[in-house]
Amino acid sequence: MGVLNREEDLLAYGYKDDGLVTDSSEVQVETEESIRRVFFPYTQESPMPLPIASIELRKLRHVKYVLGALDNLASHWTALDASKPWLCYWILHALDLLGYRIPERIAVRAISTMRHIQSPTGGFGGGPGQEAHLATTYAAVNTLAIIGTKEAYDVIDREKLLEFLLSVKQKDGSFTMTVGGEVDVRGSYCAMSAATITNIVTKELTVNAAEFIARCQTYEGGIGGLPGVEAHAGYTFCGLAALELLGRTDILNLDTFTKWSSSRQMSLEGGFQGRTNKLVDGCYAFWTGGIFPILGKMLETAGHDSDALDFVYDRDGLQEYLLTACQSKTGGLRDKPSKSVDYYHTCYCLSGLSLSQHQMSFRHELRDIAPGGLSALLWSENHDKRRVIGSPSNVLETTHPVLNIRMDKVRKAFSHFYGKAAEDVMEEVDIEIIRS
Amino acid sequence: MAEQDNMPFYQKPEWADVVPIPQDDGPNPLVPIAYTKEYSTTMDYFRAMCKTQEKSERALDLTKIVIELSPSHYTVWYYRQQLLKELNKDLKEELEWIEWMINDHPKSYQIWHHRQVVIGRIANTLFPATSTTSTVAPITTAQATEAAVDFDTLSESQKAAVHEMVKAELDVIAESLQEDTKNYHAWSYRQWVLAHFGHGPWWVDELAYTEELIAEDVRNNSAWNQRYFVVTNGKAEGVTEEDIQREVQFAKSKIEKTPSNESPWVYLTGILRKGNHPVTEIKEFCESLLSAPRANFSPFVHSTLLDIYEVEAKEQRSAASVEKAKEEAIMLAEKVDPIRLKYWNWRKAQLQKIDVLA
Repeated sequence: MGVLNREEDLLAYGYKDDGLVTDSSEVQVETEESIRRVFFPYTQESPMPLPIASIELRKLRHVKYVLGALDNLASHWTALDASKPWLCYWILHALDLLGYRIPERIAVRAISTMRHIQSPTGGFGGGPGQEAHLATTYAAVNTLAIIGTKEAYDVIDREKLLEFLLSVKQKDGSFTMTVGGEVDVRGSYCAMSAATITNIVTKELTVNAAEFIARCQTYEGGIGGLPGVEAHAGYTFCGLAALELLGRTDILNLDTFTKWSSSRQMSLEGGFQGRTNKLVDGCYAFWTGGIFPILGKMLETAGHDSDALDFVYDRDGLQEYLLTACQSKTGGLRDKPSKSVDYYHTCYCLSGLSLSQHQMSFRHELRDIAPGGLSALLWSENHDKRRVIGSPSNVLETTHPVLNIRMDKVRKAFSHFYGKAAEDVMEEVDIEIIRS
Repeated sequence: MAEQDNMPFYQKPEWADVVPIPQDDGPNPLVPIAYTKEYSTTMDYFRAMCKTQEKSERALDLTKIVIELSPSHYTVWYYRQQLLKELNKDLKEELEWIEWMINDHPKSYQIWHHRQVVIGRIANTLFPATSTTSTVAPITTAQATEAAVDFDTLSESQKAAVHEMVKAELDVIAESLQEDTKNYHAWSYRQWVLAHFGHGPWWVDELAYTEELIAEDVRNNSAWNQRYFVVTNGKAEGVTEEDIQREVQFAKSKIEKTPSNESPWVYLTGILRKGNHPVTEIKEFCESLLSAPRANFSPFVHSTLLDIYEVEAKEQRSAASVEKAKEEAIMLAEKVDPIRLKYWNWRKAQLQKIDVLA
């Protein structure tokens, strides 16, 4: 398996345009050409094929790249002036996955920065003095969970946070991203994630939320941003993860969902696209790749042996795409070879790579002792199924498949926000891990 | 005078009374951005306006300046929406400016949402809420910022006015889609426009529009999705049997030209499901494609046949159908679609569970 070492010439796996060229097929064929060039040195067509085992994830360079942003961003980043918690989350989560221990001095600054971004009306804005927004609230809560100290957790005004979440909740179960802002499925995930981590989920917050998301599942099987709008992997992950946090993934059509999700892997490239007939992009390693652990759990619940399934996609192919096509020599990761690196793609290429290396599975047998939000603690790695392409040192830390925060940080945050109830669940999970 | 025009706004006398408020990041913040002097000073004045919630012409002007410097600044957009209301501004003028902004920032969530808010308000003043819930429920309940318009209850002259407004709006969106035929924001907003004003005559035109786009690029999945949206939401009475049959033919004709194109295949099976037609209905169509040389390599011909034989096997408890389905799964896993080996192997394993007659 994989995309580098294949039986036939790479071209054989390329796009079939049926003799009819259109805009979509043209850009697809161009993309494949550029991917074939980066694949070539490792393939059988090369006069001296390089061993796949020699492919390295340039961890130190990626660390250096993201660390640079913490102290200084050039003026063109003003475009993200309403997304500062995002920048913090992308960078700190990338560092976390790369196994870089976040130093105390950065933690102190992160806590102070988030404190200044918290809105007096609850939740977090894009920067100091800005209105609260669901996406930046999600990113800020995750940032504080990554810092993972009592001082960091205590920044969050939980009572006000719930007030904010309820203020953007709509009757039909959807959420506006900000007061008076647009509705889409991102809101459902951001609200549920922040509320679950901080243990403030109420009935009022969740009523109709799953029904709204179900209305966003399209005839293709994936989920769109709104009812009627095209299925898209970004919204599909958000919708699915929100349903998982709501305990309601059963509301989806499982057959079409499974088929649509597995259809997003590109035949030649190995990476994922976000929509039908669109191009591969490294960030979908997470948005599409992140579907599979939760989908595995859904299939198990429906009576299938998901362990035998080992995810419904080619893990080697995805990792090969990320390692050869998405890494920049000078640090940072990107969409595809023709694009430049950025913090967003660095975070999501690495998140997708981690999920692909570590098979995260759900401990159904413990479901009864972990009601509500606590069920998020029942994810753990299936060590037998670990799969690391290239150098063994490419292995990343494990991330939570629903919350996308490192597993140990999730556990620490839950200990703080749920207290003994969380610690009891974790103890049972650990006993199960030792037993199996 | 000319000198004054080149002057930054904050040096002009009408701003002299405002005390700018610097950004309070706290000590040594993470991810500090090296703002230009122009941007940071403008924001200092914006914060001053926000603090007093000043509702004035100069505040409105200022929001425009900030937005043009930083179009994703949602706080500013929201403030602007409140100002437009409080100051009772001419919204037509606002529309022209948004159109210009869309050209420069076609992928901004905020700009498209702002347009939706403005159009919703205009509609609401022209045609005071005729109903609180739209007849086209699927999207309007989620996206509406003002009550939806019920086209059927309007007078003839109102109908003509609504129709004209919707057409103008769809033209603006079409222009943006011409630049990027898969712009997600443009399509989302387009669906809102179509649905917000009820079941007007524009739905028929929209079906033709999707046909045009599909003719231009048969792989434009956004256009296929839009077609599904129109067929399933365009009529008050819902989707008819005639619609289903017409759409099945439409999809088949596109598949015959490009059998390896996923879009019409998902559309075809989706439309059949919507009309409660069994997938087995297209068995002969799929089998006949197998003899076409190109189509034989299409994963979608084989995967649809796999679905068909699986249904047959379950319904007729037929061992022969199970075998045929298995052959398709093997073909897909080994020859036609090896990247999805695990998926096809899993589908094959499901076939073993079917209880067949001895």
